[in-house]
Amino acid sequence: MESLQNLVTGTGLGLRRVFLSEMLASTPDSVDFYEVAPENWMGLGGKLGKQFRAMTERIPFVCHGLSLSLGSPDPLDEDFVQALKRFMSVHNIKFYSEHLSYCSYQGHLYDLMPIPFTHEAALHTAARIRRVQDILEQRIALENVSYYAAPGQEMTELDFFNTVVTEADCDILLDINNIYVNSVNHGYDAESFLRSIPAQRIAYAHIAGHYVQDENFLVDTHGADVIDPVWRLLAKAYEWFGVFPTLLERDFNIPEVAELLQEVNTIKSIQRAWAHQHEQQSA
Amino acid sequence: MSNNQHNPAVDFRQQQADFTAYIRNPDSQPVPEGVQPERMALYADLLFNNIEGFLAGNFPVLKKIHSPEQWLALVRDFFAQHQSVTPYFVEIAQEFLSYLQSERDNHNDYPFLLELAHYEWVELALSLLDDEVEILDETMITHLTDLKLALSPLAWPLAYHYPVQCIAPDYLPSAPPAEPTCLVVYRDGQDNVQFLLITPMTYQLLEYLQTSTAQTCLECLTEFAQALNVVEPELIIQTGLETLQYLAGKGILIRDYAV
Repeated sequence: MESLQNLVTGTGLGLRRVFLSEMLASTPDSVDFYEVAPENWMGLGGKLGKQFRAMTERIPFVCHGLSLSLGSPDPLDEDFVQALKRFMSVHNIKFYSEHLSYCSYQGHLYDLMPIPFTHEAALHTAARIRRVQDILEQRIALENVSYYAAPGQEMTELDFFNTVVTEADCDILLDINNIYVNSVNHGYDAESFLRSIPAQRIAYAHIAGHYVQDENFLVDTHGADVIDPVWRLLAKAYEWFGVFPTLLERDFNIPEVAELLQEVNTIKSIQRAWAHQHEQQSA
Repeated sequence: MSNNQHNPAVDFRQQQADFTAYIRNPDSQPVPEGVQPERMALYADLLFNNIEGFLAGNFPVLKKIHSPEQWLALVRDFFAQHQSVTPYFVEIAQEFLSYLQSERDNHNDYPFLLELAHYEWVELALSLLDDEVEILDETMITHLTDLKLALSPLAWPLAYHYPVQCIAPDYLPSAPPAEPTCLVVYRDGQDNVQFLLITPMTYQLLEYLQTSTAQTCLECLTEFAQALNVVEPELIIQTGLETLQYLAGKGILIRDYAV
């Protein structure tokens, strides 16, 4: 299957209901693409459904799933994947990403939990991703998640992630903040993690803020501004791998749209700086 | 790092069973082996607060009429017991309803608990329905008698034992009143959800209209009046027509093009 690269470009923003009307009224130039959780928008009519339709008619979208539960032992919800495929077709959504995680075990628990880092779990998850890609007839982008515990750990997070990605032959949604949060919480070097992922598979990246519980423990809340070390890690990624599309996520303590757009513009300026740098080097 | 690091026979499914059992019920399940208790507690809190947030948003009155402890115990029991199947977040409210209907078993609950929850769910469900309808114009409403009418898919006639719309911290009835509470909940032309109190007779008429094979509104009203077996069927027909006109004006009744 073909890579998802270049299906979206530039800078993106996770679309939330609280600022949907505002985005419809103003359509800021700095946002090149939006992202939504399909579970929040599929089958939706009424006011919200109409507003959503008006947005997808104007601007490129990607879907970022929360409920597929790729690492769960529960049966894969193929009806959901089929419905997702129709939804993506109706709204001309470019592609779909999901978390390397699970959120159900004998029923949905509606939030992300860490898959045990074992070889068997990696193969199980990769097989499910391949099935999803077969149904969608398109690769998906897999996100490296933040985790606060590693039950039954047999291998490193990095080996687990890379095994799944290789076995599934999928693309990557690189979450820069998650690398940083995990590096602090689990005591590893963020840059060496970044360096070791198969960069040719990056479809796009996420950047977000987190909550500092104490200096050795961070919680990935998407509820604060992006901090400088995370911006620097993004710049490192652009330096090493070239510039790729990058999207700002904000789920809690959502500020004024103008403030969100400032962070989107920060992404843009880092992208421009590195695009320029790479051009000069190749000239 | 886990104690299992050198054990090649880690059963990841068993790990997930232990992990989720704790998250559903941290007070009675052990912390999974090899995981720090405070990290497990963090996960349990994150997932529980997430569910509580969804339910509090969908069932504000239900939350308000319980003490914080009672409310959290109710959410906890749902989270611990119920196997939710929907992947859609807006349908968590439906999962909660089905839990109240089939799994909830607590004799201390308010007798109207399920009815109130249903009433609160209806507003959410109607606001999100993916249907559009054409509201009849004034001329058509004036000449309603010759039209065949249908209930709009965006209008739900509902009958409750309790006056669910009145329930509040200072009104918590322990037994239902003599008369049922009948309502039509509907989405108006501006996509806002509205509630209309109706008489039990109007509720009956709407029920009748949905199953009637009559080809016109007048025919339907005539049959309805006959079925009631009243002394003055003309009166029922006349009042019934006014009611149907009123409901058609609100988009609750629409034209049925099916033959």
